[in-house]
Amino acid sequence: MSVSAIRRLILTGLLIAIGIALSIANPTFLKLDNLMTMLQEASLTGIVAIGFTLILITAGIDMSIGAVIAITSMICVNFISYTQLPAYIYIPIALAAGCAIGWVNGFFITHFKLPEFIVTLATRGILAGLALIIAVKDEQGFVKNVFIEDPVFLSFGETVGPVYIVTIVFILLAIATQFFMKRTRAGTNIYASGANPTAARLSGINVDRTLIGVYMFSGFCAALSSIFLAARMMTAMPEFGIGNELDVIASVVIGGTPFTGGIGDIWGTIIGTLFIALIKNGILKLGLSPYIQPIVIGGIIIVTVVADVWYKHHAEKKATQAARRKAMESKEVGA
Amino acid sequence: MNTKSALFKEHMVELRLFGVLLGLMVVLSLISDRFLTVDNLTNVLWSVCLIGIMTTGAIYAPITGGIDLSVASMAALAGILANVFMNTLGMNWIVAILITLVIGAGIGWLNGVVTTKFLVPAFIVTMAAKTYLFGVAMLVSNGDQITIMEPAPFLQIGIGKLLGIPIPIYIMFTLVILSHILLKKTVFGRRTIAVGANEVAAKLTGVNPDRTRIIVYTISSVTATIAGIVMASLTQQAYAMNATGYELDVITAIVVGGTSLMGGSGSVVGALIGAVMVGFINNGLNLLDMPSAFHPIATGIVILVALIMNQGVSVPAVLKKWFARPGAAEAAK
Repeated sequence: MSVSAIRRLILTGLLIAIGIALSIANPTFLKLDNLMTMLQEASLTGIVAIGFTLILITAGIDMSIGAVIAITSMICVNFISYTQLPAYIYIPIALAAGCAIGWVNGFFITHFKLPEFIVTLATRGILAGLALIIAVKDEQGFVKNVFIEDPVFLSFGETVGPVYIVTIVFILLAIATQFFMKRTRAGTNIYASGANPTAARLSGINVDRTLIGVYMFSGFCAALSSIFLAARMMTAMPEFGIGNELDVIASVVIGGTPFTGGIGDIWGTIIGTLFIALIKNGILKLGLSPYIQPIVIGGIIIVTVVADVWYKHHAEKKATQAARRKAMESKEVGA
Repeated sequence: MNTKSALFKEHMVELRLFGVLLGLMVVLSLISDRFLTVDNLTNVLWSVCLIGIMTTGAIYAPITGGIDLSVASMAALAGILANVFMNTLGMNWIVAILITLVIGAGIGWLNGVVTTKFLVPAFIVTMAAKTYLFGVAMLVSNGDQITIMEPAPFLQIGIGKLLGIPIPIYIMFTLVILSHILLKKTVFGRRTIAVGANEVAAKLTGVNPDRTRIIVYTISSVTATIAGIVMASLTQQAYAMNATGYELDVITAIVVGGTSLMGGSGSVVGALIGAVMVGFINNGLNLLDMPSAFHPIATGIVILVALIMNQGVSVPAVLKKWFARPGAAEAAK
C-alpha cells in the first residue's frame, strides 16, 4: 500500500474516532443540521483549498486568498448596491476579478523572479486595503452592512434536499480538478513544474505560463468561495476571509500535499478539509474557548509537517540501507 | 583614496536610501506645512520605534534566507505576559521583564529548531507560530484590553523622556547600533551572511548552519519581545491585537532597506532607514487625511517596488519580453 493511501486511512480513522467521541460528548453533534452546516463550512474552505493544492504542487504559496475573498465579495456588494445589473452578469465579473488578481500574482512571480510568498503577502495588503476603500459606506463614512436581497445571488446559499449547494459544487470541482491533474497534459505540466522547474523547462514545458495559470485558478477558487460565503451570510464585509489562509494551508498540508512541490492530490485535500472542519466544530461543540482554535490549527500544521519530514528521513535511510545490502550481496555473488 | 572609495561603495545602499528618504521629506514638506516641524518628526520616529526595534532582530532571518512572521504575535504576547507577571503575580518589574525575555527567547529557539532540524520552510513555522501565539495571547488575556496602571517605573520605559526625547527612541538606536556591530563586526555576523549566501560552502568552512539559524530566530524573537514590552508600557495596555499586521511593516522596512530575501546580504542601518520611510509614508497619508485603508495598500506597493529594485531586473525589459512572447501576436488578433 502506498504511503498516501496509508495516510488517508489513518486520517479517515481519526475522522471517525473524533466523530464518535464528539457524538458521545455532545448528542447534538450527530444531528443532520449540524453535520450539514459543518459540511457547508468545510466546503467553503475546501473550494479555496483545491486551488491552494495546485499552488503547493508547484512549490509556491498564495497568501492573498483571504484578501481575494474580501475584495470579490466587495465587488458583488457594490454591484448590488449601485447598479440594477442581474446576478448572472456581476458574478462572472467577480470571478474574473479573482482570476485577474491571480494573473498579477503569477506575473510578478514568474517574470520578475520574486519570492512567491512575499509577492502574495504584498498583494494581500493591497487587496485588503482596497476592499476597505470600495466597501459600501453610509453617510458618515462608516462601512455599511448591505443586506443582499437578490434572489438569484441568495440561491447560492440554499440547499438541495438537506445538502447545501456549496457542498455539491465543492465535490464537483474536486472531481473535475482531480481529473484535470491526473488525466490531462496541463495537469502533468503542473506536477512537472513543481517537481523540477529546470527539467520541466528543458523538456519543453512553458513553466511560466503554467505557474500563472495555477495562480489564476487559485484566485478563481477564492472568488467562487467568496460568493457562496456572501450568499450564506446574506451580507458581505470587507473583513471576509482575511486570516482564513491558515485553515486552508492546514487542510491542504494535513491532506498530504507537502511544501516541497511535485506531489499531492485533491482527495487528500478533501479529507484534510473535513478533518479541520471537524476539529473546529468539535471545539465549538465541546464548549471550549474559541481562542484554542488558532493554537490547535497552528499546532496541527507544525506536527503534520514535522511528522512528514521524519517519515521521509526514515524512508530514505531505509532505502539507502537496502541499496547497500544489495550491493554487498551482488559483490559476494561475484566473488 | 582607495579605502575611501571602498568605504563609499560599502555604504552605497544606505547612502542611496538616505537620498530617497531626503527626497521623500522634501515632497512631504511641500505637500503639508505641518510635516517639517520638530514635533511631527519626533512623532514619526516615535511611531516607527516599535517596528524599528523589531527590525533590528528580525533582519537576521532574511539574511540567512528565511523569514520570521511571528514577531507581531510575539510582541503582543510579551506585553500580556509582562502584565501577568507584574500585576497578577506581583513580581518585581525587572524580574517580570527578564522572565518574559526568557520566554520570548525560548519561543524563538523553538522556531529555529523546527525550521532547521525538521527542514520545514521558515515562513510556515513562523506563520504557525504567529497563529498559536495569538491564540495563547487571547487565552491568557481572555480577549480583553487590559489597562496597565502600575508599576510606575515600568510605564516610564514607554512614556518617559530623556533630554526631551522619548526613551523608546533611545532603545531603538541602542539596538540598531548593537545589531549593526553584531552583523558587521563579529564572527556570528559573518557566519550568518555566509549561511545565507551559500550554505554548503559555509558548512565546508566549518560553520554550523543549523546552530547559526537557531540563534538567528532566537534573536528575532527576543527583539520582538523587547518591542512588545516597550509597546505595553507605551500604550499602557496589554491586548492580543495590539501589534496585528506589524510583521508586514517589519518586512517592508527590511526589504526597502536593501536586504534581499534570498539571503546573503543585509543592512541594519538600511532597515532603520526603511522603517523611517514607512513611518514617513504613513505620516504623509495621515497629513493628507487619507483613510487608514491606504496604509496596507501603500505598504504593499512599496514592498513590490523595493523587491523589484533589489532583484536588479529592468522593468521595461521584462514588459518588452512579455509583449514579444510567442503567441502574443495571435492573441492580439
